[in-house]
Amino acid sequence: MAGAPHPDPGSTGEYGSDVIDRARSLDKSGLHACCFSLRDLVVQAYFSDPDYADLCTRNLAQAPARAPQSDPDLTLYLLDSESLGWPRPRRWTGEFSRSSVRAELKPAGLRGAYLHEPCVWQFHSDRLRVGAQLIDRPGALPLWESGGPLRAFLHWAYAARDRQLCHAATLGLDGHGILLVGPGGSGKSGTTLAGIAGGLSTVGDDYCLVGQGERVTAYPLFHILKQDPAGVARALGASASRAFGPLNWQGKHEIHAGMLRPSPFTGALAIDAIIVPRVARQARSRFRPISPGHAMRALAPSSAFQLPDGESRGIAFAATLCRRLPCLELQLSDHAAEISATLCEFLSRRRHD
Amino acid sequence: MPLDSHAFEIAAPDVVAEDFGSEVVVLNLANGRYFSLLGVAADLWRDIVAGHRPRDLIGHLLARNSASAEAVRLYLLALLNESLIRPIQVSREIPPVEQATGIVALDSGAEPPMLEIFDDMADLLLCDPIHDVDEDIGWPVKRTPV
Repeated sequence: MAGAPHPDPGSTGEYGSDVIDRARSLDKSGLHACCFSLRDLVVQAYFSDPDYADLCTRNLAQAPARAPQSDPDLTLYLLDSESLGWPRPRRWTGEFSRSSVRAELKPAGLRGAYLHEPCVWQFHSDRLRVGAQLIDRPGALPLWESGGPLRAFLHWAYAARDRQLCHAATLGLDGHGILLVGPGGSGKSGTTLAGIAGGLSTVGDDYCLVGQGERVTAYPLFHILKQDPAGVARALGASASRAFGPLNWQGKHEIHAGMLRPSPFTGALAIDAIIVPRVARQARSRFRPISPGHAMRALAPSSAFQLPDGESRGIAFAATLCRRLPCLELQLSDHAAEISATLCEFLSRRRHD
Repeated sequence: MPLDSHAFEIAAPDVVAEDFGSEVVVLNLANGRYFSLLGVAADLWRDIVAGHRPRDLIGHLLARNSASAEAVRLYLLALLNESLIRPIQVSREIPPVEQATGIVALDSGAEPPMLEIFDDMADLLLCDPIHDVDEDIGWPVKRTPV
């Protein structure tokens, strides 16, 4: 129990600082160390649970290795109380809101998030470039963690580098691409898989990293796609589901990049447009120009509300994107091959504009 | 909360607004609801943010068109009830009511303002993480009503 966080060290900010301090002082030889070379971000991670380390190694989109780096951009401690013999993570008492977590962490110079069930604390110090996650026992992670591991930490680390995680799918051709935006169920993942089946590339179907320099560029964060069996059958054929294993908590297959040949993932896409798909069940898919405000409503809320602590910056980032890029609605047909051909033609045209 | 004699401001930091010219998109981060303000609704939002007092806007319209005045009163009350605006915390100069773009538009026959509300994200953000979620799946999946 030596070195364990005090069960009640006072405010949430003090608790977060205490967890980070004690995580940093742990004997690293008892933890599972992994170095993830992500897009312009080297993450040194220490796990108390080797299975969690494997999950992150499998599903994070790792860029080609850079030269060894003695000083990582971000150091993470992914810990569970049971493995370390620490007291269980403390519970939030009283009325909960994300803004109250934010307000309590701010005086300690921390960002963070809290999840009630399973109980998850995440703390991040911009100054130290260190994050710590504390859960109850091995595997007691949110069900969505496998599809986007370490998402909140990456969100905070990239925000400090003027890049933003976006809740958007992507498709591309010859290095140029589109962002597909909209709430869950709007057709993003199905459209992405249809495009992939037709030979298009992607940097993700749920979250991607977006930078706004002279060009808007999207990069992969996770090498995994998600689609329900019906969507898989539509895009890849009736028997394709069998290769993708069991369904996840959303009733979807988690399709790892390695399950698709050739891999549809590419390292970056120069983004030429924002597309809001709409299931229209028409004979032919059709594009319709929409206002930046319409695109903003499809992009910003789901990104802001799913990425804690940093929402205002994310909203401003999304607004700039919507002002910069052409915004269109894609009224989808029911036919994956037709959708793919429509997108391919669109991307070819944009590339030559 | 009545509109009474206050000037109002955006209820930051929980409320964030982005102005796209033809539309203002407003997000309330505290409850997950977001809003589309088009036409006169966007104009009146800008007027309120610029420091115009609801009392002045409504009073000006009452003298010309009571239906418009009532529509504006209800719209501004809706902004207040949605906690998108709050009484101003640091007083500032109040611009002449004739300069209010919403008033100019309504005087020219524009449609009355409407607040379009989207709450598809609010369900998950606001559900009680202990009692409202599916026991087998957990937050953020809401329990299916029996």
